[in-house]
Amino acid sequence: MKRIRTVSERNKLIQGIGFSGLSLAALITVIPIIMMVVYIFWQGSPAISWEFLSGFPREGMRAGGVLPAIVGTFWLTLGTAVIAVPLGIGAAIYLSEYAPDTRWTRVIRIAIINLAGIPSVVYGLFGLGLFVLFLQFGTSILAGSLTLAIMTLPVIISTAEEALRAVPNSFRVVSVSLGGSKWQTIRRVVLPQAIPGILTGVILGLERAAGETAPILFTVAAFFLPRLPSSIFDATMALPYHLFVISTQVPGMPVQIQYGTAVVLLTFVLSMNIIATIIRSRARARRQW
Amino acid sequence: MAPSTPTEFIEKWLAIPKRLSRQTLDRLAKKWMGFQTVAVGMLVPLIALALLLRAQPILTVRPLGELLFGTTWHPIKQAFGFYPFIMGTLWVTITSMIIAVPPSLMVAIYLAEYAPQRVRALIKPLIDLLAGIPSVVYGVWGVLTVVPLIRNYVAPTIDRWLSFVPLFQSDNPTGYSVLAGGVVLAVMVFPIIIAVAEEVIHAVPRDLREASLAMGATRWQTMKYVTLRKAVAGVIAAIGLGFSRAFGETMAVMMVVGNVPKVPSSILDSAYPLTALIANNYGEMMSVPLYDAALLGAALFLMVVVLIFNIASRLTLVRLVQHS
Repeated sequence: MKRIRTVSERNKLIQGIGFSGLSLAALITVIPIIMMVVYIFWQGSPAISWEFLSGFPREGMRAGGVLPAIVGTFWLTLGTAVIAVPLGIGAAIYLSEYAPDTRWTRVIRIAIINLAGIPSVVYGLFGLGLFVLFLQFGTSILAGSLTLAIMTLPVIISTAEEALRAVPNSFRVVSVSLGGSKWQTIRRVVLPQAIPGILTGVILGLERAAGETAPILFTVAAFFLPRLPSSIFDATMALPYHLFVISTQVPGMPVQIQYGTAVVLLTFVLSMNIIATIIRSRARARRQW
Repeated sequence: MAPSTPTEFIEKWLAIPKRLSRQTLDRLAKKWMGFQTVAVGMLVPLIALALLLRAQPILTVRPLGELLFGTTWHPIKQAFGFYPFIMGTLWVTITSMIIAVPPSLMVAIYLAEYAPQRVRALIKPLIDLLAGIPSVVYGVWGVLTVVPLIRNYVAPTIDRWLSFVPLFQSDNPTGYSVLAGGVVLAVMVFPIIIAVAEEVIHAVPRDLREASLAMGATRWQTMKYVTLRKAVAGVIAAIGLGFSRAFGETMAVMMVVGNVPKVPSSILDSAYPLTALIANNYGEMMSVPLYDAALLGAALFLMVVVLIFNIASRLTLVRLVQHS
């Protein structure tokens, strides 16, 4: 072995050991987590078949398919989008384009950011109290969507605001100097430029809503309901809650169905994530500023 | 000219939107979006107020100390002590932080300081992807993989070699334990801590690094003595965000910790976190007096703790961004 003589050689050696150690640590942290996802897909994919996706649960949910849960999650996600998207984008536009930088604005901004930190089970209780009981929507898709919308809002607002702020100020200056009003400038110039970023935020927010269990526990989810919802005042099954039920509440549940349901939910959620990532990177590549 | 027929009247009424001047439209748009912003901003105080009002009945008849430190939970006998549940939450959260913090900081440092651009571009979206996995999926993974692993291998091994340490002594044979909850939660908070800490370390100004390198320091020394010193507040904020996420997490934890209302004394014991208490009992809470006030009080406590950690972390991060 070569003898180490100088301080600088010693420092280089320490650096080599240090950075190799870090790389190794990163490797042994990231790889098992990825393996976990791969393992779930590997275990669950044999259960996926057309019957599984299009059938109703049978024999106390120990056989059959997950169609009502898929349909329920689809409607819940759509309902959340209808409520949260206009509200979230409106608030984002106000915060980025209109709001003066005052103490009040800062307080409201902090309140909105902190909305994202509230534990999901607290949203559930709030939704139960306000929408299900006080406003008497009952356990329904409407109450569930409203509850999920509240927890989706901060994600949509913060990403949409970021996207709007990223539009260079010169765009606005040119529009106003041509005689455009503030609203015309936003509507015709700023918003079109920010659309991909806003869309990314919307999809990421909805992704979170689609996978949440605790908020729908009290507001919409049905343990077992062998029909499809027909109105927004119906309760419905939903994928995350169904997965929770079959993996904790039903004894003698075949493992393959649990993994299979997890694969369906993961596919639903992760494909939204991947679509968002693609929109973002394509918009970045194409953008001219 | 006044409209003479109903048709004319409707036409005139319908024409109004077209006649809105640009200025009016501008003002209306501003007002409407300002209203939306305030409405969303009011949600947090509204939720806190609603919880406080609904928890009021029990807060007025029981002293806060008795609620927080009472050890018996027996709603039928009107005993509402949260202590076992608070301790359950703390045990699981702290276990998860001990497991999660060191590796996720190492990954964050690796990504920010050392990883080649291509590795960064590959791993960052992957970490976002992990953050998007629903908590119930982590829970199922915990039930089907982590719990059996602890039951069949980890617990017997620990029992054989380490049973003289009180922290590892337990007669819980099920595998549903603080350790299982800690492992599942740790995997869930990895992406949060990594993402925020990486951003903070990456945001340390270049000039500082260059000055250090110009003085002849190696990259390792620069990282250790300059970059990390500068980033330390932000890294703590990242850990705080992870902590508050773990503290408030519900589904994944309640699926794997066993839910036995007893203060745990070992990481192999079962625990019963506050979030699980709320989620498990929502159905029956209506019929027993004070029961629902107690559960809403628990939710309020949870929300206050989480918000304190969140606000402190966010303010630290905002301040850091303004300085750099």
